[in-house]
Amino acid sequence: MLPLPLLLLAIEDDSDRAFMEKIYTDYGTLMFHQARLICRSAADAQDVVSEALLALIKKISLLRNMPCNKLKSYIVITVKHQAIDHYRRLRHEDVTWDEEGPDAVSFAQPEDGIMEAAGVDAIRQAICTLPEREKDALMKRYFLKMTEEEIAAAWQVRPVTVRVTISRARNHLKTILQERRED
Amino acid sequence: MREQNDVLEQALAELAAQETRALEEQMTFSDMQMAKKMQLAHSKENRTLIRKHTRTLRPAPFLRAAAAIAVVVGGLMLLRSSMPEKADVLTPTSPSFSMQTNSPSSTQEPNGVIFTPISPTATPIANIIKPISTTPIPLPTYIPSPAPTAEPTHVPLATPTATPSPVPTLAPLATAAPVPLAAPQHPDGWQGNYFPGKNPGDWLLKPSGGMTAVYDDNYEFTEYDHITTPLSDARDIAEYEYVMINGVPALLTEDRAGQFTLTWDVDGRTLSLFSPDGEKETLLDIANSVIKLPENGSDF
Repeated sequence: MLPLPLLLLAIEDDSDRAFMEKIYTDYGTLMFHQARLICRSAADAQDVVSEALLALIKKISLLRNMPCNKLKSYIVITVKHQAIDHYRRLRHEDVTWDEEGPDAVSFAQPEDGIMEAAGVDAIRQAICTLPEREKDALMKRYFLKMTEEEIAAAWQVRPVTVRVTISRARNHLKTILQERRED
Repeated sequence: MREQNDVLEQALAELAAQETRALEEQMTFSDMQMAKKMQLAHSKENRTLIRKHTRTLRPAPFLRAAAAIAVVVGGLMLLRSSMPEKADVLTPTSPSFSMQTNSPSSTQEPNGVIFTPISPTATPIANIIKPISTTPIPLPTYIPSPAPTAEPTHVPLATPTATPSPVPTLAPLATAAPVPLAAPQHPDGWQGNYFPGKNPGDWLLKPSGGMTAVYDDNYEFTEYDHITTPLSDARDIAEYEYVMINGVPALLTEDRAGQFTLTWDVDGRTLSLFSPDGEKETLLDIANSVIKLPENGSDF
């Protein structure tokens, strides 16, 4: 398992521990199953689940206020993303991925209300058509509530690369929505 | 911008929920069983991980108690070692004791120790020590011992008692012959380490491998010499539940035809009970009666 600096960020509370153990008891099987779908070995799956647990501990205050159905999705998606990142790390991928820098894409985001007008269903369908990396970035940033630094650490890239990727993803999303509206 | 983020978050949440539902739906029974096994196998490590990352940094209460006891004991030992050892000689606690009596007199304490106070009028030690005399001391003269008498004196032996009356010791009571304990039975040729203790004589060994036995044509007990997931048609599973068999979690499944399968792991082995047309209670009774056989179990 990868050493993570989360010990310093550990939350010192007995009820948090009980809460995390309940999460593991309730969703452990689902977590292992999700990890096993992506990882090639059971040992990798175990590592991924451990890493996911650490990531969940870090977000425990967020999890505590989450409704049950969303909590389950959050846990599953966390494991999935941990597994994908783990797999990529094992393959030494992404070291130079998307390292174009801030000039590669414009940060200017004209908020023209396309997203609000399109509706949730249209956005959901549009997200599915995004490149995997951009979809991954959006999911991490807006659903898992990870900071750009945390995503950068997971991807092993600079935070600016994450910012660029998220910005590009949003622009792609708006383009797709715009095209569909015009059609 | 905030509204955009809210809509985006909502869409992503729905996407995540959709993925989660799909994941749950695609989980077959065997996937579920494998994932559950992984969870059980790693639950201890993961619980340790959770505790490590959520516990307070103060030590556990028992560690603190142990540390406190160690400090107290250490302090007592230090205090004891720093105190002067008690003298074996009793000294008067009050000088007036000997001053009142002009001559030292010995008194005896209740515990038998003779107490002699130091007299204030005692002669100085320098006066007691006398110079060694220089005059030679004559050696002792040799005096021979008296010669032994010519004839040895007769010492009469003790007369024996008139009627010796030996008392015979009591004969040991006859102990009961050892009775061998009832040994668990199982069919000849059983190769496994475990076997149901319920009606063990009524089980019939299946010809394949000596690790499967059948009772009442309706209950099939199989032991695998390794951890495994017994093959089953997962699509037919109607219900499943976890039950405890002798303190071990076991998976009980019932398929659409009403067939029960109970699977659990013991000591690196997987045990399985299958009943095509039996009762769930009987199946659980049989499972709970499963015992580990002695090392040479096949000799019964």
